[in-house]
Amino acid sequence: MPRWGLVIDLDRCTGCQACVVACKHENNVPFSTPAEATHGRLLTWIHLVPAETPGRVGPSALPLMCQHCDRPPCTDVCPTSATYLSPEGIVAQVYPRCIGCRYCTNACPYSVKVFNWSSPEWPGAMAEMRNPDVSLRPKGIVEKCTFCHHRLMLARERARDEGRDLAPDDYVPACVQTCPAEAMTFGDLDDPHGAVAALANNPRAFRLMEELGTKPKVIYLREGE
Amino acid sequence: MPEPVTRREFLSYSGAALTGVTLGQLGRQWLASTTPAVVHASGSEVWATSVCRECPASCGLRARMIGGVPVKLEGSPLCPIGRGRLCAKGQASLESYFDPDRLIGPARRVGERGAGRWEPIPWPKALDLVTAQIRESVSAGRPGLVALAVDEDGPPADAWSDAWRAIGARTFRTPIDTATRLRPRFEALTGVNGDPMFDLERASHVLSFGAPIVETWLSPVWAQRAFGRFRRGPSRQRGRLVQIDARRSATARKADEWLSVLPEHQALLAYGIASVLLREDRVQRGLLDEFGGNLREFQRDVIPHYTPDQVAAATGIPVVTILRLGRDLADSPRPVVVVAADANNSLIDAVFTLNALIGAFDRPGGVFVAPASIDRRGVEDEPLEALGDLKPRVVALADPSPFRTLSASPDLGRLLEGARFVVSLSPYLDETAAFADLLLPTHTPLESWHCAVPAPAVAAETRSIAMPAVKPRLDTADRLSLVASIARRIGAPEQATDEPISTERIARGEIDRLWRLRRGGPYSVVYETEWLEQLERGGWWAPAAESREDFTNRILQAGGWIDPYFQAGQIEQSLRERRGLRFALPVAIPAVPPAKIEIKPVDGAGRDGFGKGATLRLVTFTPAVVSLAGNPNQPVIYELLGQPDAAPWQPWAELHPETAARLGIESGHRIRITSRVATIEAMAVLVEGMLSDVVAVASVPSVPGAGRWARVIEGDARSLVALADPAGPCLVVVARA
Repeated sequence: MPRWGLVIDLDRCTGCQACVVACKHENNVPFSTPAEATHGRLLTWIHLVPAETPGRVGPSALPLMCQHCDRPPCTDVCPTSATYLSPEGIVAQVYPRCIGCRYCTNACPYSVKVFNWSSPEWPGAMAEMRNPDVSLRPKGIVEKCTFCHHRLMLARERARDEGRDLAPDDYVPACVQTCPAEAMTFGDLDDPHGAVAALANNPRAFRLMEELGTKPKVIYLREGE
Repeated sequence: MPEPVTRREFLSYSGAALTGVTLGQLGRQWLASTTPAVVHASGSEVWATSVCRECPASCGLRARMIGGVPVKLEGSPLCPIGRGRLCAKGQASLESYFDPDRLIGPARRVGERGAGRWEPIPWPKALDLVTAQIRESVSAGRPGLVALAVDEDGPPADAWSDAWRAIGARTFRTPIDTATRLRPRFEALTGVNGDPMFDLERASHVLSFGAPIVETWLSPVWAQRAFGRFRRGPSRQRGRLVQIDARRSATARKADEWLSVLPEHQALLAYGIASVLLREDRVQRGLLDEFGGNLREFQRDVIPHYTPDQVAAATGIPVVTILRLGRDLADSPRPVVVVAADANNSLIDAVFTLNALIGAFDRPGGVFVAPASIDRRGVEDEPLEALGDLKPRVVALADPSPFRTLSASPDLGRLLEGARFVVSLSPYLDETAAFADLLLPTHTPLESWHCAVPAPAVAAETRSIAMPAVKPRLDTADRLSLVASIARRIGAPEQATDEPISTERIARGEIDRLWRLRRGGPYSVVYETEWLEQLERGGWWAPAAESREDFTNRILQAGGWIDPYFQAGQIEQSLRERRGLRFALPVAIPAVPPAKIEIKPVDGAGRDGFGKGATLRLVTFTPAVVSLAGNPNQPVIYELLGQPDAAPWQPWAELHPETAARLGIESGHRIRITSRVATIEAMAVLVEGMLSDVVAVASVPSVPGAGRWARVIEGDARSLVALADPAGPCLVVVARA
């Protein structure tokens, strides 16, 4: 069984935010308003944060999303099992189970689980641009990056229809697919011949807040020489 | 031609026609009463091909259609520019198609110009109106005038200009920010009448003079891919980037070294580095020995004026830094010097001079000539700045992009005040709609035919060609068909006899021409493109189709045509024919502003009067996510502004922390910036390393009469600069709001 992981090479990443738009459109993440943004209630499953790297010109722009930890603190505190670690290593979120208690948002050391403060709205015809493969989340629940899990299900169905196994390129999240600088690599961390496993062992590789022991499956490659 | 108005459309219009309504209301009413324009098999997934028109790069697109409705845009893997990748703006353009405040059909102004009151009218009446105005204008001896869309390059753009000129109009445009803008100075040095092309991917060291490499440079998705490979390509050492930039741009943030230098000083610095290379004999002799041209004069007359000491005194950059920049450049195996497309001529001269000295011409990781740029047809439009003095009688505007790309924000009201009649062909509520008397909305890119010449970047001749991905969802028209209709009504001889012009006809005509060339083929995956290149290198051509019809279908399915055959060595060939390089000879350090100005409190304030503000130099910049060509009403774009340092949904201004402290400003404060022509407010962001006497302000188009999201933005930084004198430093007073 694969163990899905993502490597982001910060030396390649340009902070262009193509991944942010890809994620919003792919996963039906609603638009904010200026007022919501002012109150810190902007909904994004992936966003840029400034990250200091010694010897660099200034803080790098680091794309931050759910780290899909192997030991996720958020799942331990969820009273309804709405968030859990799937056998393939994806930290999943079952929206109908979520009661909006926000224990998980507090437990997450990366602050990447976002609470839905208002009902999602797409004015006028914009409702038609929503992706039918991704369910809409009502007001009052917590949502986050799923590694575009719906794409995995679709890829599995397609492979099954074609009578073959899932190939490594069949499943990539929307952010990885669009990244213009080719800074993101996605795949099975347990596949010793895969690119992701090789990059995860690169001397530049690090995980955010490794000292907490959460064992994230989003791995960053340090910027610079 | 416009499609007939349906009963539903008529009813929707007639309810609003009595008194005139605001455009926003009109848009919402319209969309509330319509259903999707086209439905394929219900719920099925289809991928449609199109072309991104958010910038001149013209990347290939794939639109994911569910039940006939586009739900996601991806880059086309077959397109050689993006190879399946797409930037933030390209993806966000899906929101333009669904924009709830889009123009719903032709409308006529009622009330004062700029008041935003309109009444819908049917297409025939709208065309009658514009035709009558142009007839009157022609008979009065004052021709109609046209501002051409900035994102256009290719046969449809030429046809647009031709059609207007055929009825006696003069056409205007702002030069597009591609490598084509560098062409005249490149030609002056090398004699090559072609667009320069930078081989960023294979370079080992890049010295960039303000080039926004990871933002909007030349062809953004290509540049980002090339940057990624330059940094960490397979089987190569990490590339090193040095950025010379007035502010800490996204490219400066990615650089290994960033030097904060005002644009007016950058040419001096470049010549200072050239003097280091020549004085220390660190130049690459191969090309220079054979094709040195006037190198001896350059060395004798120019270099003495640009010693590191003199340049350091003028720019404030330490001598030791200038020496190191030159030595690092010379010591790298494949260095290249790059420049922003909109740089001034002296800086472009200096940059190509440096490339000549380090032997970057015609070598991997250096500078080449873009294929087929030699026989590209130039559009004979006039510069937009000339429009202000003409007081035209009739003005037709394709879209607002020519105005957005000017370095100063033009006062459109003043620019158009002499015009008796202004007609906008933009599909959106934007700057042009605010001042128009008549709105003739055209299709959005997903609804349009495309035949674009992509901005020169990849080592291949390309055309991005596609048919509409969806049928028009509103009562809009093809842009060229509209112009042809107007020309026919006026009775222009060329238009009266020919088959009516349309973008589809132009695109199909271009495909026919490509078929007759007997080279190249449809956009294809990397392997097939390389195979085609190998075949052509061997003198073969394997037609991708058996017939012209089949060829047309394959081009339209693939989204474009490519001829990957690339011949290096054109610069050397030109130098051989013209007997050498011709260096520009700036024989004295030009009068430039001082390296630093004293920060003084505003008049009337005492010794501790910085609370009332201080005078700083203004630098404006356009954030990479802001589209200069498309619809301003895309909400996701406003969420991206200022990330990761500032807050979304608002422009921001960057200050040195020490300067900010003297002014009592902290990060996140609202500050007021006042020039002699305007005042705006922005959010303060403190940036270490920038010049202490500079305030850098993000320019985001402010469109008060636009759609619901765009109208939120207040205060375009370009409005601080007077259109008459946008060059040089502009002094502004900065204070906490």
